[in-house]
Amino acid sequence: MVERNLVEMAENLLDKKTHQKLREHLEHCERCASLSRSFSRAWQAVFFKEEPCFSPASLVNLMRMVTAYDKRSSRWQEIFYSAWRFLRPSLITVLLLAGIFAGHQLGKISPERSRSEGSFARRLLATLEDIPKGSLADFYISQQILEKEKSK
Amino acid sequence: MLKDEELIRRIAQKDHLAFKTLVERYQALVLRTCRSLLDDAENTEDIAQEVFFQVYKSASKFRYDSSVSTWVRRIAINRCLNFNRDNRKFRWLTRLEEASENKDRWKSAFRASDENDPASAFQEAEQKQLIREAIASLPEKQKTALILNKLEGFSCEEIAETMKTSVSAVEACLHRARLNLQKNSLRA
Repeated sequence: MVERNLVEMAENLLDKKTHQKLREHLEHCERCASLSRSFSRAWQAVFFKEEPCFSPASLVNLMRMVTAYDKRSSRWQEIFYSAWRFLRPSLITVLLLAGIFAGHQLGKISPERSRSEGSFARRLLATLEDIPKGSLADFYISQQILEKEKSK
Repeated sequence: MLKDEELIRRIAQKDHLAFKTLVERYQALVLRTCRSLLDDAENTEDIAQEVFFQVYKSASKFRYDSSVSTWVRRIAINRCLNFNRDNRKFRWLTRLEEASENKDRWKSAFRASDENDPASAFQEAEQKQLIREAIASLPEKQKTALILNKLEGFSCEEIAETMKTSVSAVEACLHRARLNLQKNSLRA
């Protein structure tokens, strides 16, 4: 019974009834009493709160790691800031040009433009009717029409 | 003497002196935690160095929502558990072999003996080693909760804050840890 409750005995977590039973047993059994004592001692010793500290070599190594990390991170920061100083005007220019291009593309598909294209086509047709008969332009246009009809 | 939060603020600004002060203040805590949680105690100082290095790198990200000691301890626990996980090689095979040997070791280490016997010092060391091995074989959460409770004297609320879990979960962990230790000891 003692072996079953060693940890709880060492931690004083036994309920009243079990504690009473075990106490009565330990009063008569030297072997169990010795076992209980030695386990409790070992248990407390395992959790004895030491105050360990780093060896000097470990401290030096730690500071070396920290210094190397600072150098690495500051080098990357320098590279980043230099790149940013150089690229900033170019970036602004690129953004400006991108804006102009986007505006140009948007303008190409706007309704006013299609309406003006339509009116231009109407004006063009109107001028074709004004071409005098027998003129060079009239001859050229009739040749184009004949070729199209032949290809059909 | 500077407060912990002020030290962290200075460390975030790459103040090496503040960092050394923090190391001196918390080295015992970190070394104790690492020694208790690591399966292989030989790596204690190396892992403790990595813990403080992580503290230095993460100082600027500290949100001041918990105490500095809880934060440092959390980093130490996570680092130790990750190290154990990464270095766990076929432990289930060795556990089977150790289980049968341990029974005899426990019986011989805890046999009744005269406390004045010179061999009792060796026996005490063996007893402590056996208990440490039994603790090391516990599942991670149970081991962590037990170490924080017994070694650092933390209450269940403090352990719950460190492990980011509930108080009832911590109490259950501690209870199961004791049961498992009992199972792995002389009754094994």
